[in-house]
Amino acid sequence: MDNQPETLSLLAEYETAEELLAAAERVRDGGYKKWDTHSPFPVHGIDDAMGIKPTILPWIVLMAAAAGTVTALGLQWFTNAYDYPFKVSGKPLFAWVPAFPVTFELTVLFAGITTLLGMLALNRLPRLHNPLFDVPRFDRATQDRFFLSLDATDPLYNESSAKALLAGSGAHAIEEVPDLGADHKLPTWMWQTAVVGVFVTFVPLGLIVKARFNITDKPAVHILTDMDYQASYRYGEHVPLFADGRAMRPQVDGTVARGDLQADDAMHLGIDDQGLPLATLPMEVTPELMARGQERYDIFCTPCHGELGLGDGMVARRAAANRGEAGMAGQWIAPTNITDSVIAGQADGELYSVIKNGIRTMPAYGDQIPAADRWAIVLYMRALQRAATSTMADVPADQRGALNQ
Amino acid sequence: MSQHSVTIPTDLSADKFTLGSTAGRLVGGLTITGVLALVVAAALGLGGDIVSASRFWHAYLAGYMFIASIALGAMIFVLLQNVTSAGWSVTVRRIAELITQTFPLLGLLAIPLVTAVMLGQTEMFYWADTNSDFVKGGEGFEGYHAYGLMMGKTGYLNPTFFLIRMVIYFFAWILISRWALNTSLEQDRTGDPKLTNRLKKLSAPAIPVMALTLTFFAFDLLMSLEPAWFSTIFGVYYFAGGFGAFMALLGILSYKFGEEGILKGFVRDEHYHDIGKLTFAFVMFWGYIAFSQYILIWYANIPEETEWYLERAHMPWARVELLFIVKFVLPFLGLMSRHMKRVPGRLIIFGSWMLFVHLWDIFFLVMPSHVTTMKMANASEELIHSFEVFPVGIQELLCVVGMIALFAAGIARQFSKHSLLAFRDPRMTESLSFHNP
Repeated sequence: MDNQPETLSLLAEYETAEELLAAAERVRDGGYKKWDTHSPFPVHGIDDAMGIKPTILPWIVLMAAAAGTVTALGLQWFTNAYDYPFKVSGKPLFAWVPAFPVTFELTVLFAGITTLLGMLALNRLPRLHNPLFDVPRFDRATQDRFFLSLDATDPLYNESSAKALLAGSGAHAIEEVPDLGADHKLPTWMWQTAVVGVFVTFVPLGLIVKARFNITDKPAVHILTDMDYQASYRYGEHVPLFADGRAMRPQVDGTVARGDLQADDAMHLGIDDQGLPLATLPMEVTPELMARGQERYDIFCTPCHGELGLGDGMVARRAAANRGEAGMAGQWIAPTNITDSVIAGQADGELYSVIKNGIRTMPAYGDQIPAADRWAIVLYMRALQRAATSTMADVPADQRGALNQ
Repeated sequence: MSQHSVTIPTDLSADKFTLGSTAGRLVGGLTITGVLALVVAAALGLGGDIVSASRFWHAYLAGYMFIASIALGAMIFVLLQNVTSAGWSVTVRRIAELITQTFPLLGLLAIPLVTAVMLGQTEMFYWADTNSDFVKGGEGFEGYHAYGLMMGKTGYLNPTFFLIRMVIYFFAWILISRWALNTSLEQDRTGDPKLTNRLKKLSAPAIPVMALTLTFFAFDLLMSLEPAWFSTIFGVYYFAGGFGAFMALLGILSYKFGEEGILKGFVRDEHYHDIGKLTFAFVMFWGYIAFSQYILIWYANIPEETEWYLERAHMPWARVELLFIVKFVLPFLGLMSRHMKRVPGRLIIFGSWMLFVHLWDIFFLVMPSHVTTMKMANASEELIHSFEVFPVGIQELLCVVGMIALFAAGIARQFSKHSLLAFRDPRMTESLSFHNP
């Protein structure tokens, strides 16, 4: 290495922002490309004075934002409506309104992160060391002085003419920035820590993968307990507050809650005077009742029994797919095919009773479905049973062509 | 072309920035047009049955709430600039200050509405007389379907309290707007920089006053059209639209005066850029508020809340999706670019569009209530259907044109009397030399 270090750039010092702006305009007009200005605060108009072209960052951010929008909408549609379409309460699988907040968030997130990373990348940051820091004078760039640095690698650079230009621009001092050959590499401990840090982030992922493919007989780990253990009493729980120890209070003897009077046995129990199941509906059969039955059936029954009543709903299909896995074998009882001749042969009152009270593994739906809707579902089940045994002869002659296609 | 240091000409005087007879000439013609249009609309509407009277009142209210929202936006803009010591807006602030001087005019235009309520005219505000057959049901009328819910609110929604509130609103608005302009005008004469500090100090407490009065003004005149319905965000919704519309109008006016008028050299591309940015921000804010109101009601799915949107869903022009596209998506994409805000003329296109869709939005808020009235009055299916498809007829045109003409007359009168530039504001240099990064 020479005794005289090579000059990397020229540094000119100014006392006011106005001087810096004027100098920047001269250097810009001189045709230089590789140079920069340094000031303690943002100087309005410096972009124009330096001849800096508008950044392309906004376009990059716009693309990222559009990517965020598409990702959010695509992810929600794919998971809800395509990959695992699970019907909840008869609602559509995908809707725009609830999808919007996630879309908004992801659009902003992508745009925000891209703004930061794009800004760093376009400015070639982070930069670990700048030779300007080797000039003691430059410390005042963060206090009360303004600087202009002219890179020696600029094609127009010529030491004497560059110095003349800067001197003519009103610089209070001009200094050569020496190449001291400072170590620009990341300190060893820093990148070692980074590598270890990256590997540490794999640990939680590994634990999740381990849990996903292993079976344990230990109880679940409760990280957040406030949802798992709630202060409210559950059905049938014991509480010392009342003499009978029941948390759920029974109604006062001899009273009925408003709207809870169920005096009509045919309507509410599905039985006739002799206590036998009704053979027909205790309600008038109308197209509206059928439509209501279909809607309620789609909400409450399709998850297990399927849309056609064949016992192939989403739950049943998933259970069948999992049957091979340990822990599932032998315990799963498939939902009944309600178009089966045994079910079709049952009286309306019997079907009604099953909906209300449940049967075998099927839970009682009496608390969720009011009496009139139970009958509507029975009616729709009859329609499904009829449809299951129908032949081409049942289709009106003028519509058979469409069906054959 | 950067301006390093700006020297303000020393020979500035109020005369130089006053439009004088240029604007003064317009006042008479605009006033006559406005009054005539409103009188003809009233004669057409009030001469007929309940349905035609209701149609007039709804058209009148729509036009009224449109111009009122712009004046309120201007008032909040002025206070905001004062409070934040904004330097950029000094050269356009006076335009806003003069627009706020239309509050006395708005007070006059509110008198027919208040009178109708005090006289118990129930075709628009059902709570104006809860004992009338039209609202309660009787004499061939079915009555208001949510009569019981409305009766629960009569402690607030009654003619006397309504009158008191309206008086309070206009008292506060006229007081604040007069004070802000007069202090600023005093600075034109004396050049005293202390006045800027006084404006800053006292504008701060004026902002919550404006926020509350504006919110309840929107509750009283728009939300109470459907007394059973409620939305706590409604005042913000009205404010967001009105402020955006005002920024659009300010963009148009400052461009007009800055490019070819008496503010040439004082208002330039950097100012259009900032006005454009605020317009853009309020396009987003309106979209955010409007969607917030919609998604909560959509999700909760409670009948007394969804009813309001359900009525609108029957009208092709009042579909929420459509409103989002014209008032949010299109201006959002259009105003996003820096180019759009700075190139002369572009802002005029988007400003005009913003004003148009804001009027559309006000129609969206007001007009479906007329359908409810028509149903209560057992109007024919064809009549209801044709109004639902397209709610603009001669009544609406007359009322909107009349209101805008009177509003323009009020603004022109101020422009002819006062300087359009607060030329001795101590932050003038800042406003003339700033650059958008």
